Amino acid sequence: MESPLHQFEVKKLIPLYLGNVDVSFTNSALFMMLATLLALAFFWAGTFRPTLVPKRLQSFVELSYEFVANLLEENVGDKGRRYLPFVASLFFFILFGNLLGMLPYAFTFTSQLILTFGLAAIVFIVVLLIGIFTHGFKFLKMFMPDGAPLLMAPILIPIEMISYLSRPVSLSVRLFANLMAGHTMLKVFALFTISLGIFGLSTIILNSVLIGFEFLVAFLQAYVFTVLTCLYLNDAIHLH
Amino acid sequence: MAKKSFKDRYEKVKKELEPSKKKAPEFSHMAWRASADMLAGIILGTGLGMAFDRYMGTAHWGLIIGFLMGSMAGMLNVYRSLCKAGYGFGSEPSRK
Repeated sequence: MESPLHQFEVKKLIPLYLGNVDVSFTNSALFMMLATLLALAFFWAGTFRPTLVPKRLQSFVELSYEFVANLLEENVGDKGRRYLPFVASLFFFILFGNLLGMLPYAFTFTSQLILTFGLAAIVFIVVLLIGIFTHGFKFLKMFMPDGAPLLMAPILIPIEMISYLSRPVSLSVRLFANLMAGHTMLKVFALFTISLGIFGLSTIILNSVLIGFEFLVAFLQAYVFTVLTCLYLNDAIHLH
Repeated sequence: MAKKSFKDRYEKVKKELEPSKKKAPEFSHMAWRASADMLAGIILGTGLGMAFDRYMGTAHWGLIIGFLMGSMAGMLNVYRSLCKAGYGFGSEPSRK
């Protein structure tokens, strides 16, 4: 019987080596490229020949753009407007990756911890740089709660720092765990279908419900990642 | 008279129903978030402690202190994220 975790195996499609570094073109890289190209194609097709009264595809593109823009405005405010390209590209990359992963035989690249951690690390570094550039050294005051006695500083500052540093960890683990668990669950029930024989019909029904649920998770996790990015941006821009 | 009392009752019921209707899906979402926040704090604290041990040779002290610090940071993460969503009681401890 095939393992339900077989689907997460990274395969080398085109082996490439730069010196001793393995930079092979893997199925993960292929689907990342596909997600990026699909997102680009989606926006390009929607805004190819814009009309004043938008057609179906154009209004879909406009709605999805406004969705991210409103998210940013609600969570960050007017000052967040200029970070829209960053946040929107994160959202659409993750969303298209999650949705591509729902296709049969497709590889879900967001179920790789290293990728989600990479994305979270990018968010963390960008937010840190924005905070330092907008507030200078006042940014470091965030690690010492005001009003706390100085004697508590040796305990409070490490805790605050760990709390701050754990943001990318929780951000990446959340996306990875949801996608990985969901896709494993689908595979496990699919394998039951084969081994249960005639009773496999029950797992087919369950699986078709779960696939609908997975689509919800695919969208929701992209949304949650974006909302949290917005919240971190808000923390960095509006220092308390 | 009858119309007004109906309207009053309607408003009352509407007020009672609205928060629960709005909060129900969001609460489970917050629970997921809280668990991830808690875990992240513990993982990071313990990891930092272990890394400190490995490079400094302070066997296990780093692990113990790191785990405790990480747990505290995890608790703080959970408390903060719940407060931000409006589920905490009292005010936020440090960030107003």
